[in-house]
Amino acid sequence: MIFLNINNLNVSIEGKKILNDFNITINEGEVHAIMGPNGCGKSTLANVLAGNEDYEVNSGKVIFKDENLLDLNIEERAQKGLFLAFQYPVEIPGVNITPFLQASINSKLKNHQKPELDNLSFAKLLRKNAEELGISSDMLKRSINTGFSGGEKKRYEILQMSILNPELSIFDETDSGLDVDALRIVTEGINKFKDPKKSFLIITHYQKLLDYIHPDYVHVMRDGQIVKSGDISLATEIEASGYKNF
Amino acid sequence: MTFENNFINHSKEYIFLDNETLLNQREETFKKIFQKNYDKKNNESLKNITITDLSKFEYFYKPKKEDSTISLIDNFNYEIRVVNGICKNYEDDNIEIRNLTNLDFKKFLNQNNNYLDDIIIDFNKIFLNSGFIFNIKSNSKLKIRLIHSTSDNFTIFQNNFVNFKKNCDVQLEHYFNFTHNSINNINYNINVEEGSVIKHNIFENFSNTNKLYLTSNTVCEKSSSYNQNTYNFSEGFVRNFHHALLNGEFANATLKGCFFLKNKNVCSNKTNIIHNAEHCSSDQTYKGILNDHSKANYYSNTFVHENAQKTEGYQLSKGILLTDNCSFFSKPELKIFADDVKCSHGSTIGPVDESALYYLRSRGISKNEAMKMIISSFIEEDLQNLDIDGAKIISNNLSDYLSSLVDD
Amino acid sequence: MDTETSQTLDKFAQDKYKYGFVTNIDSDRPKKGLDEEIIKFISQKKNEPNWMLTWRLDSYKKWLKMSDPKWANIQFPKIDYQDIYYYSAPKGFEKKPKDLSEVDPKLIETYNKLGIPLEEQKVLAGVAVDAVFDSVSVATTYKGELEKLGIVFCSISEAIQSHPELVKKYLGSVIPPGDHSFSALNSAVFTDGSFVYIPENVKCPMELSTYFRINAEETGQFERTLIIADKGSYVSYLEGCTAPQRDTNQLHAANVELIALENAEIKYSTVQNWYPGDEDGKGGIYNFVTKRGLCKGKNSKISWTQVETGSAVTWKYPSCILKGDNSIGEFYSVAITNNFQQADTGTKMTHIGKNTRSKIISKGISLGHSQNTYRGNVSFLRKAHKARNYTQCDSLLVGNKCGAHTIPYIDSKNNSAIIEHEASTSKINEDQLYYCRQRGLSHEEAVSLIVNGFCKQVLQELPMEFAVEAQKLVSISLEGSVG
Ligand SMILES: Nc1ncnc2c1ncn2[C@@H]1O[C@H](COP(=O)(O)OP(=O)(O)OP(=O)(O)O)[C@@H](O)[C@H]1O
Ligand SMILES: [Mg+2]
Repeated sequence: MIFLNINNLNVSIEGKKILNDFNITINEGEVHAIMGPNGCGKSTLANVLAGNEDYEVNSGKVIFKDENLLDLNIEERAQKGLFLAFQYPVEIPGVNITPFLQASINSKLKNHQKPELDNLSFAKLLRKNAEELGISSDMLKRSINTGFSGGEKKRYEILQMSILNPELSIFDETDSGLDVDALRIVTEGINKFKDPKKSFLIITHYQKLLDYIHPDYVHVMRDGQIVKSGDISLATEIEASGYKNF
Repeated sequence: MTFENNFINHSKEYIFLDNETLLNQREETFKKIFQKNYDKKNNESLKNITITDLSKFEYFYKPKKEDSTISLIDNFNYEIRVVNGICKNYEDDNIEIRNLTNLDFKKFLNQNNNYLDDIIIDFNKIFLNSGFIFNIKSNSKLKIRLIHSTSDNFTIFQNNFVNFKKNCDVQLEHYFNFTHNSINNINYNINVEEGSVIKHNIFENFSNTNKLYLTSNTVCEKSSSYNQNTYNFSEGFVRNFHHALLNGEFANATLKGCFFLKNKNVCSNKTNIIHNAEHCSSDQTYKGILNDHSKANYYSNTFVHENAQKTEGYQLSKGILLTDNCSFFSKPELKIFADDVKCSHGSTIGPVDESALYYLRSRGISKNEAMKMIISSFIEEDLQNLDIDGAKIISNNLSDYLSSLVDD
Repeated sequence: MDTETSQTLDKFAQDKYKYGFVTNIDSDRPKKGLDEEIIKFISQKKNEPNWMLTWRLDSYKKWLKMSDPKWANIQFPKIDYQDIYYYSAPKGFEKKPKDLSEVDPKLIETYNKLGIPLEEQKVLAGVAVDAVFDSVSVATTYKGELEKLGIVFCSISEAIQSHPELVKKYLGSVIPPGDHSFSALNSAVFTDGSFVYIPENVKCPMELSTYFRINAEETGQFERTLIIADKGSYVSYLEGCTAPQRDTNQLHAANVELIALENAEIKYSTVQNWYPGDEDGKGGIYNFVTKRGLCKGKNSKISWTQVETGSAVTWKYPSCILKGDNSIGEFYSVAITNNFQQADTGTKMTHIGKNTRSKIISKGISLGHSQNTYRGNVSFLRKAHKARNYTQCDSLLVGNKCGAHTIPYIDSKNNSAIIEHEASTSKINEDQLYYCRQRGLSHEEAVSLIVNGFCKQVLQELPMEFAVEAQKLVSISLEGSVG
C-alpha cells in the first residue's frame, strides 16, 4: 500500500505560488519532521493535505492510502484518518467539545461501518484521555478553544487526536507556545500514541521537540520545496546556525 | 417673519431664477413644508428641532463680493475666506473656485441628496441664495484652510460642490466662525475621485446667537479615502449631518466627530455610509460630553448593498453625561444585504468613569482636575489626525470648555 | 462562496415544516368579518359579564380610529379585516370539557402528534400544559396539584368567571387597549389564552405551559395571556405554537401581559414555530404580537426568552417596564428566518425606577431570501438613578440573498445611568467550518453546530426540558430534508 506520496505538487494562493514541485513519501509507522524558515510554505502544505479550499492546487498528485487524496473533500479526508493539529486553532464560541468530538468520532466510525459510541462511553473516553494530557475537567466544559491560552489550545488539539485515532497526524508547530511541562506531557502523549500503523508529519522550528519524539527523517524546506533530507543531526545544525547553509 | 412671507418677499434674491425645472422643484418643496406634508413623527432631520423654529426667521441676504479673500500662504498652502456665503472666483495650477452661475443648474439637479428625507435640505433648496464650485486638480498635494464667517444677521442658504480630481492628497481645514445672529444652512457635495486621499477637519465654534446646519454628501470613487473629523465647541446650535457613498472598490470613508455641550445647547448629529462596491471600509464614530441642560442625538447608519461583498463597517457612539439634566439619544443602525461582511457597532452612554476618577483622586489629584484628565483622554485618539495648529485649537477650546465645569 | 457551501445552503433553504398537517374536525364558526355583532357573539359564547363586553366594545371603537403601525421593516399586503373569521371552536366546546373523556379523540391525537400529550398517564413530567386549539382552551393538565398551592392556572375565559376581581384589576393595565391597532384589535376580539396567578411567596414548582395551535382556515387567533406574580412569588412559563400548512396567510395577534409585584419573578419563554410559508413565500402566519411585562414592585424581575423560527411575518417586541426600584428586565432572543420570512423583532426596556437593570442578548440568523431585523429601544427616564443596560446583538448571514438589520434606539436622560451596547453582523466563519470539517463533520453538521453555538447564550436560558427541543428546532430550521 502507498501510505502517503506527494508527487510534484504545485500550490498557489491568490495567484501567488507557494509550493514548488514538492515531493515527499511517508510510509506506515514513520515519523517525519519538516523544518524551514517562516513563510516557506509549511502550513500551506499541511492545509493542502487537509483540503483547505483557499489553496489552489495547480498540478501534482497526492496518494493517501492508495487513494487520490485531492479528490476528497475536507471531512472525507478526516474520516479516512488524516488529522491536522492546527498552528492557530480557531475559537468556536458556544460549542462544547463533547458533542463536537462525539459527532466527529462517530462520523468516522460510521464511515468505517463500526458501531458508534454512546454518550456514556464517549464521556468516559474523553475524561480519561483529558486526564492523561493534564486537561482539567473545567476546561472540557468550556467552548472549543474560546479564551484558551496558546498552550491550552495546543493540548486540546492533541486531546482530539488521541480520541480520533488517526493514521496520519500532521502537527503544525504544535510545540510553539507550550511550557516545559506541557511539552513533556504532549510529547509523551504522542509517543504513547505511536505504533507501526501510524505515521506523523511534524512541522516545527525547534530541535527540542524532536529530541523527545525521535523522528526517522528530518527535512529542510525552503521556498516551497524540500532542499535537504537527513536525520536528527539536521535539526542540530539548524539550531546552531539557522537556515543560511540551505 | 413667517415662512410664507420669507418665501414670497425675497424670491428675487434666490439663485437659479431663470430655470423652470428648479423653480418648479422649489415651489413643490415649499408646498410640502407649508402643507406639513411629511413624516413628522419619525423624521430624523427634525430631532431636537421644531418646524416652527426653522420657519420663523428674518430673511436677510445682502453680501458684498469684496469681503471674500483667497491668499496663498505658500505654493501649496491656501487660505480661503468665505464671507457671508460669498467666495471669490479664482484659478491657478492647483485649484479653481467660482460662484455658482445659472449654467450650473444641471449639477444642482443631479445632486445625490434627493433620496434623503431631510427638511433642512428642503429649506436649503427653497431659499438657496449662494454657492460655489471648488475644483482641486489632479495630483495636487495641498493644504487648504477654508473659513466661513458672517458680518451681520445673515441668513445663508448655501450649496457648494467640491471636486477632488484623481490622486489628490489634500488636507482641508474647515472653520465656521459666525458672529451676530446668523443662520447658516450649508450643504456640501463632495466628490473624491479615484486614488485621492482627503483629510477633512471641521472646527465649529461660535456664540449661541448663531446657528449652523451643516450637511455633506460625499461620493468616494475607487481606491480613494475620505476622512472627516468634526469638532463642535459651539455655544450655538449645530447640526452635523454627513453622508458618504462608497462607489468604487477599495474605497474608505471615515466620518467622525466630537461635541462638547453646555448650558441649554442642543446638537443634532447623523452619519450615514452606503457601501456600493466591494472591499470598502468605513468608520463612523461620534463622541460627546454633555453638561448642564444640554441635549444631543446621534444617528448612524451603515447600509451594505447586495454587491458590496468584503465590506468592513464600524460604528461607535459614546456619550458622557455630566449632570442629571442633560440627555443623549443614539440610534446606530446596520442594514446589510451582502453576506461576506464584517460590521459592528458599539454604543455607551453614562457618567464619567467612577473607578478612573477614584484612581486618579487616590493619587492626590483634585476631583475637578481628574475630571478634566478623563474628559481629555476621552477624545485623545480623535486628535491624531490633526496637525500642530489644529491640535492647538482643540486644546484651547477644550480647556475653555473644561474651565466652565463647576467645582464642587 | 464555494459550490459546496451553496449546495448545503440550498438544502437548508428547502426546509420542510413538520407540523403542517390539518385536523379534520367540525368547528363552530360565525360569519367572517368584524363588527359589534361578532364581538357580542364572542362575549356571549363565553358567557361573559357585562363589564367585559363593554371593555371589548370600547376597544373596538378605539381600533376603528387607528391604522396599523408602519415603522417595522416588513412588507405584506394590507390585511383585510373583514375577510377573517374571528371565532372558531371545535364542535362540542360550548362548555369546556370536565376531563379528557369528553374531548374529541381527534384533538388529543393532534396534540400527541405535536408532542404534547394531554392524557394524565402521559403528561409531560414537571410541566403543566394549557392547550389552546383555535379559539378555545382544550385542556389544562396538573390543575389539581397547582390548586393546592393556591396557584390559578386556567384559560382566561374561565378566569373572567372565577377571578373577575383580578382580571378587572390587571387586564389592560400593562398594554392599554389603545396602545396601537393590534392591541386594540386583540382587546376587542380575544377568544382565549391563559391566566396565571401565583399567590404571595409561592414558588411555582413546575413549568406552566400553553400550547397554541391554529387549525381552522382563514381564522385569526387572538389570544390573551395574563400572568400575575404576587409578592415574593416565582413562576416559569413556556409558550409553544404551530399551525397547519396553508396557502393563505393567517393572522395571529396575541397580547401577553405580565405583572411582577415586589420581589416576584416571572420567566417567560417562547418557542415559536408557526408555519412560515413555503419556499416561494406563499402562505404562513402573520405574527403580530404584543408582549409586555411590568416590574411593578421593588426587586421584581421579568425575563423573556424567545426562539423564533416560524411565521411568514413576525412583528414582536417583548418589553419590560422597570418601574419598581432595583427591578430587572431581561430579553434573550434567537430569531431564524429562512426562505421569504420577514422578522422585525426585539425589545423595549423602559427604566423608570432607581437601580433598575436590563440585559438584552439577541441573535439573528438570516438564510434564503429572508429579512431579519432587530429593533430595540432602551430608555432611561430622569429618575432612573444608577440604572444599567447591557445590550448585545449579533447577526449571522448565511447566503447572499438575505438581509440582516440592526436598529437600536438608545435614550438616556439620567447621568448616573450606564448604557452599553454592542452589535455585530458577519457571515458564518469559514475558519470554524474548516476546523469542524477537518475533524470529520459534514458541512451541514458543521453549520448546525456553529449556529447552535452562536445561539448558546440564549438557548441556555430556556428551561431544561425545552432547551434540547429548541436546539433541535434550530438545527431543523437550518437543515431541511436532513432530519
Ligand atoms: N491567504 C493568503 N493570502 C496571501 N498569501 C498567503 C496566504 N496564506 C499564506 N500566504 C503566504 O504564503 C506563504 C507561505 O505561508 P505558510 O503559512 O505556509 O508559511 P509557514 O512556512 O507555515 O510559516 P511559519 O513558519 O511562519 O508558520 C507566506 O509568504 C504567506 O504570507
Ligand atoms: Mg506555519
